[in-house]
Amino acid sequence: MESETQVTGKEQAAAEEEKPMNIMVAIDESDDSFSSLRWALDTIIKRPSQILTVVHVMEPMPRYAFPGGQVVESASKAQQDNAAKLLSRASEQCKEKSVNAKTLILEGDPKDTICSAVEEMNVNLLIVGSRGLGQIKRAFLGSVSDYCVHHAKCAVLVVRQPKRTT
Amino acid sequence: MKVLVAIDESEESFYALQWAVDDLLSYSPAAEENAIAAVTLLHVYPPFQPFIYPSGPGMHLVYATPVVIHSVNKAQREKAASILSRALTICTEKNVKAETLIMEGDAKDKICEMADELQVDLVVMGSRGHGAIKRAWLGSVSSYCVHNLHCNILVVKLPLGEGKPTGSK
Repeated sequence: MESETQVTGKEQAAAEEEKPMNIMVAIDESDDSFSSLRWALDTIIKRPSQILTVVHVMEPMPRYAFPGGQVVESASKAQQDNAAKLLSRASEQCKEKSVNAKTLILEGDPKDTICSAVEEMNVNLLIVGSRGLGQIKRAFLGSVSDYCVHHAKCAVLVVRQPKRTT
Repeated sequence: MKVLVAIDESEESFYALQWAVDDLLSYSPAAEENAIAAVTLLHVYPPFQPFIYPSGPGMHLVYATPVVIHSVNKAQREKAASILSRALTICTEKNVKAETLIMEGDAKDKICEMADELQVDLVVMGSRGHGAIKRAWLGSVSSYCVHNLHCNILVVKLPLGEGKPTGSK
């Protein structure tokens, strides 16, 4: 890949050949993950060759926990609505930064699902927040992020909340 | 954006650096603040224990002579310098500004320390370095840093089944 970018950072003409790079950002209901999306949009997603997919994994409600079938149905529907809302919020964030992102809703155990999705979709970079829903303050790294760093077959970027304003 | 890249002599860490330089750092849109990354390449080498434990009953510690210590230190520093110069070449090839830093001590502690001290925004490292146990997905230094760094961290893994990073992905 030939590059004539100067150190001053002059924009290179679009003629520069770029290989597509698949970037996946995992989102849950936590603010942490939306901050990580925002950070990624600000600092990482810079080239047209980067393809961004925002993914949300719904954990299926345990069907045996509820006595009646109807409760489960509506809970599941509520989950799907919630997922759609999350992803539309993520979409909005991407649009604000003029980034064209794909959204994806998956179902299953978040950590396994994310890692399988990485493999299936040939993701080159997975971006996760450091803590999601399990807001145990002393734990520096949530279980899903931890699992992904260890097991995802691609590069993994863990975004932490900045301690200072940049 | 301030970036710290942890380098050792392993292939993983050079692959991580190459990946980061190619895909993250060598593109800076014009006139954007924080767009240009300032990279610090950090190499930590373990301290040389200047004593030898002889085996056998009733033996006590034997301390290496100053000559030995001196030559080992010198060799370590030369090795560190050559690792970093190779790393620096990777950066300059893509017009990425980089500085080098050599430290002695426990890699994981030093990386976390320097990341805090330099107030970096992102630490980049390979997934496995010295202890290339094939079954372990993530080496001890990377694992420690992922858990203990206060800033963002990027762990780059060698693609499976590939010995050396090729030019194309």
